[in-house]
Amino acid sequence: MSYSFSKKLLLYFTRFLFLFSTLFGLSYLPCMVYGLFGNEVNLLVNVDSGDILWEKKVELFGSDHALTKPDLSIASLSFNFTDVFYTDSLSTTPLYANSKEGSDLVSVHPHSHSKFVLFHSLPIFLRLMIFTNAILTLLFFVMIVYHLKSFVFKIYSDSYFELQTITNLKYISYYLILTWLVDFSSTFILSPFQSSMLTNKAGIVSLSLNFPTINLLFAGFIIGVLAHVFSHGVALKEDNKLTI
Amino acid sequence: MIVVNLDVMLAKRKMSLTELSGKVGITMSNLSILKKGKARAIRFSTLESICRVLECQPADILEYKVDVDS
Repeated sequence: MSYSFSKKLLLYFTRFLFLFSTLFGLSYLPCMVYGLFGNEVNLLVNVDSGDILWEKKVELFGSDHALTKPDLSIASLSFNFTDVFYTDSLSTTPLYANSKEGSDLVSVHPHSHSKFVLFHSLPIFLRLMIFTNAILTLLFFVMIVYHLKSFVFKIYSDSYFELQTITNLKYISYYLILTWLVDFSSTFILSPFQSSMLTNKAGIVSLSLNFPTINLLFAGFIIGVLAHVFSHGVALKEDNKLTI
Repeated sequence: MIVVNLDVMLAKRKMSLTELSGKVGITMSNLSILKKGKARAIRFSTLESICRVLECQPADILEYKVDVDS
């Protein structure tokens, strides 16, 4: 595979990623706003981290009792940026248990030990906090992809050591750190309300320190350092250009 | 600050920038940067070539002046 072909491939991939993330956000926003006002939507909230998941329950055997049957295929799409890339807990079939009222669904993933509640069944202040967290995460994710697209386009145009190229890298670094901060803060903000979010208290009791992933923070810092190094490269290039 | 008096020397030798460019082997754009004082550095080899063609000393081309602003 030639170098120019791989650059073109990367350019089209980032363009597709930007289009996908924008459409993803635009399709989720009305759904979230709808759920924010207490209307029933298929959005699940991870009690531990505050992440929002969209789950579509597909019946494989035509059962009428879809929620109580374990033989369900779950098509889930995570709202959280970190989970899009790193999670593997959602690939397992979750166990479902109905609460006594029958309306509050609590699912327990056997490997992650995470508990999920329906978004629209939460109190309004929790919904607002989770909504804000999700919107900020989504916004940062779209901005990261936008700057990535712009960065790859400049690399494609052979503008390696240019100030604008480095600026894109810097913005990616800032947004990654901001995404981590939102993730980090939401975990601590929501932790006092974890017990109140669960209506079915008979779930798995575990003492897990669900610390937000620091991958984003590391990635942000590494890209930030690289941007700093490249900015020195830009200065050297400028010096070299103006040396007669 | 360092002031480049290339235009003064060119006028004294009655030589055009294009002619100097051809004799020294530096592009017109680079000579223009040098003449306008936008250059950040000058190589000894370049300075030597210019001095040889213009038959002058480096001090005839480069001059130090006290920067009033700083």
